[in-house]
Amino acid sequence: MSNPAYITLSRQSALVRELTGLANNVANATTNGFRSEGAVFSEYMMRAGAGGDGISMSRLAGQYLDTRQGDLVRTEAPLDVAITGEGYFVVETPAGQRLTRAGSFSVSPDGVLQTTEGYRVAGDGGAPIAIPADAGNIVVAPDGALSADGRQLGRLWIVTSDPMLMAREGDAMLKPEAPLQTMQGPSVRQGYLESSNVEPVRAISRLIEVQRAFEFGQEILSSEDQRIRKSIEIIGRGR
Amino acid sequence: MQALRIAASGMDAQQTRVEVISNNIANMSTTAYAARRAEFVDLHYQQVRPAGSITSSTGLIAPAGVQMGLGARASTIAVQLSQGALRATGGDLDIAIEGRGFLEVELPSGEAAFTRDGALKQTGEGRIVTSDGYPLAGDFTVPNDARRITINAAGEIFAYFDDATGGQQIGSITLALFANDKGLEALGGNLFRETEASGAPLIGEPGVEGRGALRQGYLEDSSVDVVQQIAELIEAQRGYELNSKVVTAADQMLAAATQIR
Repeated sequence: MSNPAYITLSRQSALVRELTGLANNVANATTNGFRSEGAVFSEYMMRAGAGGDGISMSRLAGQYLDTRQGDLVRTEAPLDVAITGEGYFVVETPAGQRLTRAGSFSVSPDGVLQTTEGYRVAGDGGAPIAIPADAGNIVVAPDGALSADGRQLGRLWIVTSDPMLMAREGDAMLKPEAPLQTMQGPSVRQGYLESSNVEPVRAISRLIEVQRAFEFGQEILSSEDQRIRKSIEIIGRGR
Repeated sequence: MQALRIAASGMDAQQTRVEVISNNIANMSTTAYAARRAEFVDLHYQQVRPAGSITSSTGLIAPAGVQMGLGARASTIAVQLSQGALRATGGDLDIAIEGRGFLEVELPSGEAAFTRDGALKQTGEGRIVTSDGYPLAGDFTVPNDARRITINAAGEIFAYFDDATGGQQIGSITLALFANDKGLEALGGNLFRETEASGAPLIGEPGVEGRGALRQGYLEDSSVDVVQQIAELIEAQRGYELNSKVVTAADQMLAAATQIR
């Protein structure tokens, strides 16, 4: 194949990767606390510099985490909490501390606040939050403090970290690569869950764009094929 | 083409949601039924280029990585044990729990099960049983010559006889609390069973230590909010369609790719 075909192919494979990301966004359009992902394309220079042809390929260089607020959905469950604005809940997993925006919590049999996957939710400074079984109505204050019948139970640890340095891990959790900073003045709401921040309309319109761009690439490939055929034909005839 | 499988996982998730909603709507008149809610999480991520990988010999790092998500899955179908509205029935053996807690009943196997359905009946032998005939835990029988019985908020049962003015206590009903209500296993027939996730039941007198009070002559309605369920049904249906749109796009791209020459 010739260079134009390789360049087009590099773009096609990047588009297929973007489609994968879009499909993941749409599949998670109802995952609580899910953060939409966006693709960043970059140029990849081949044989750059003096004497080189300077072929520029395209590739998927990175993805960014869309940190916009998802819609709050009212559930009225006392242990459903949503963060409004910045911040993440800290979850203690066997592999270390993870961040999440999915605030659908419950109480473990040993009386500790946990996520739907059974991991402990960290209180201030990383301590678990104990909730006695005979606790009556649990109230979560806007600053994340939990109390039952006027008795303090602990406070949800809400942190910030560099969103560009967070790796996705599945189960609506993110792995922070930068140090955690305790957030000043967080705002949480009890009885609400934050839904996914994927905007289906935007995802589908980008999907159509990706699809058309891919088809356009196929056109370039076939016209390139035509060009090579024709030149072989002409060169062949000239002999 | 992973997009096909990812979209399929999304369609699967939405289908689960429709199934949960249809079960909720089917139980909109079931006594003390607690609405269920399907919750989803994202699947694992394939690390194509980890965030923070070193991009030059001077130690520069990539500010953002490339990670390919693999779709969504249902994480839990959580029971939302919220208080349903109380409906006055006037029945002596209709009791509603106002607040947290479960009535304990004995299954034919001897195992304990728990319910919030307080539509109780009396057998010929004077035992108090559920609509399915499972006896309520506690060692008491209602005497055959009792004119009527009353149950107070603390669960004490009094029987009244023709020849006496005052009531006579014949026993009391206890309530069970669980550390994690969401961890109970639903058995059908309005019954739940304790699991390792729910923790052991804390059995005691109603109205104290976080347990709800009993209300005689009332039944608890289903907590299903039909309007909310229908709104969610529409959402789930649209979600399904969006995922199918991704399948179509991926399919067409695949068809275009097979025509590369």
